[in-house]
Amino acid sequence: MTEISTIANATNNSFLDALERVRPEFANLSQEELLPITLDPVTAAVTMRGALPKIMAMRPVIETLSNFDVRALDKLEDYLRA
Amino acid sequence: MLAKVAAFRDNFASDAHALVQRGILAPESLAALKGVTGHKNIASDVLTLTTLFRTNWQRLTGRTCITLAELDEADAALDALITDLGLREQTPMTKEANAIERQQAYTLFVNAYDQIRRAISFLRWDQGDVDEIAPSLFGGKRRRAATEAEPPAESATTPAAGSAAAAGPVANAAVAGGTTVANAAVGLPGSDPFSN
Repeated sequence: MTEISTIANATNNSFLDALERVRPEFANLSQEELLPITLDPVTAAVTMRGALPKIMAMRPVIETLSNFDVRALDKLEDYLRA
Repeated sequence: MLAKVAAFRDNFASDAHALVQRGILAPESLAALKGVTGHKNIASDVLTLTTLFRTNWQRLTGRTCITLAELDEADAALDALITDLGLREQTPMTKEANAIERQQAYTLFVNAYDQIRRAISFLRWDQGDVDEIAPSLFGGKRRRAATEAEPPAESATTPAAGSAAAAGPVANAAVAGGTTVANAAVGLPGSDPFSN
């Protein structure tokens, strides 16, 4: 029971930490830019987590793209947790 | 904490009703009870009942299962619940603000993933395996929606070579009797009669 509570608290903290890291970027989004939530967060998480190893394997090549902001790749996990 | 206070409320109310039934407590002493709907009502009832039991404790001794230690415990739990409720009400983050933050995080996530898919699509254009590396979060829903949004007149025009419309009438959206039937299979109403 204590172990489960500890895990739950750690998970909550990691979600809250991610939210704190992402929160400053919220100000850059206008009301018009907000997307309606049409995805189940768990489904999105499963898809993203499944794809992440392959995506990260391509990171060195993706970094060579001059027009691509590689921070999107680094922040994906935080966005998901937030 | 609410569950604990609610359990006290149930026990105390049950005993109080039994004591009223036996004529030990006056019926009007329970008139102030508000019921079990809502945190504040439950808290209010526990306060009413503990006060009722303490006020009449001399008469109730030996006639109820409730103990003074239990009343003390209920008071402590009630105090904690009231503090929780107070803090929650004073928290600036309302439900609406929470919903907006959720939508903002969702937007950032979907946009970032979309950018990554675009980059991979560009890099793997020849292989055409973007969906294997970074599958769409929407499972093709967006693409279908975009196809449905095309005006029927466009599908009636001569298709460019190599386009989906040039693949044959089965892939076209047929317009029959003013009703658009998308992707009607051969032999079904709305399908092209000249298909092979």
